[in-house]
Amino acid sequence: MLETSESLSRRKARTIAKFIRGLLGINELYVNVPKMLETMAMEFADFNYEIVEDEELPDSVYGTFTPNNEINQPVVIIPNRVYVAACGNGSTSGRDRMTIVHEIAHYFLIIRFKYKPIERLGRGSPSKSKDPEWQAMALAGEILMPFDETQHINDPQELARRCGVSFDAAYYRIHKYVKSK
Amino acid sequence: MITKFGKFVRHLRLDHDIILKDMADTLGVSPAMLSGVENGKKSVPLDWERKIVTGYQLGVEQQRELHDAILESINQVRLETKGASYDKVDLAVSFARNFEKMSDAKMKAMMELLQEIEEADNVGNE
Repeated sequence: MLETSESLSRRKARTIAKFIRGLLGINELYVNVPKMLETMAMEFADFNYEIVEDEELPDSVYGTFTPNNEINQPVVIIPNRVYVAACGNGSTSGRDRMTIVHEIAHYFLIIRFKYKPIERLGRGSPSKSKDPEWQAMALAGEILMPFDETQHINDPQELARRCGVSFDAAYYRIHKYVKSK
Repeated sequence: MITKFGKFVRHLRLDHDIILKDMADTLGVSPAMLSGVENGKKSVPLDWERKIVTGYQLGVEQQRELHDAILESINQVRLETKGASYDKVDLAVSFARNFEKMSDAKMKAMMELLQEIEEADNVGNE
């Protein structure tokens, strides 16, 4: 079980997301995720991405982030089917777009913001704010659904449509973080 | 690891404001195939140079950069010999066998011969 020594609060995730959107010149609400990969590869010399044949990863894996590959370079790996779906607007595109940004979020958190996962010594699960997967999920959600620009949207379908996320992601955001604010 | 060819086409995509999938469509391959080539896991197919030059209307300087990038990134050349004559297959195999030990002078002579063939072919196509 992995955890980070630093906690990431939802508020901090929002600040980091805002910073990343500014850094990558994302001015629209809707993020062009495949374009984000292109920009990342140009902006950060230590970032790389690979689209691989579907058979190269197990069916249950939609994307991975490796902080250090064989040449010590952080790399996001996405199966072809996920990348192609994220380029379109089919039934899974919201989920697939979120998957790609989730892996990019790992890059930012681990490499750029030093939320480095280490082996957890104690028993049980880490608190969610120290869980690298929760951290990446929170940051990806904030990148795709920036809080300040979306907090007035109370309809999950509208939020999903405008931000290009799944209905489930939009519903979770509204019911967990917007209505309770 | 990203190859010189990969760097070139990523810059080209930014210049043209397109994504990897658009370029893969232009080349008639899957995004995974293009990405594999960019990252040096697959060799650059021989017809990509022409497809990129015409598809993105590269100027002379960019054509030279692309050619150099391909030469630096290529690690294997495959020749389709199915259906070729016995003599052509013999030539290909003989070339492959002698490739490593070929002297600079012989290589230069062979290159000139190939350029003559290419130029004659281009004149014939005009």
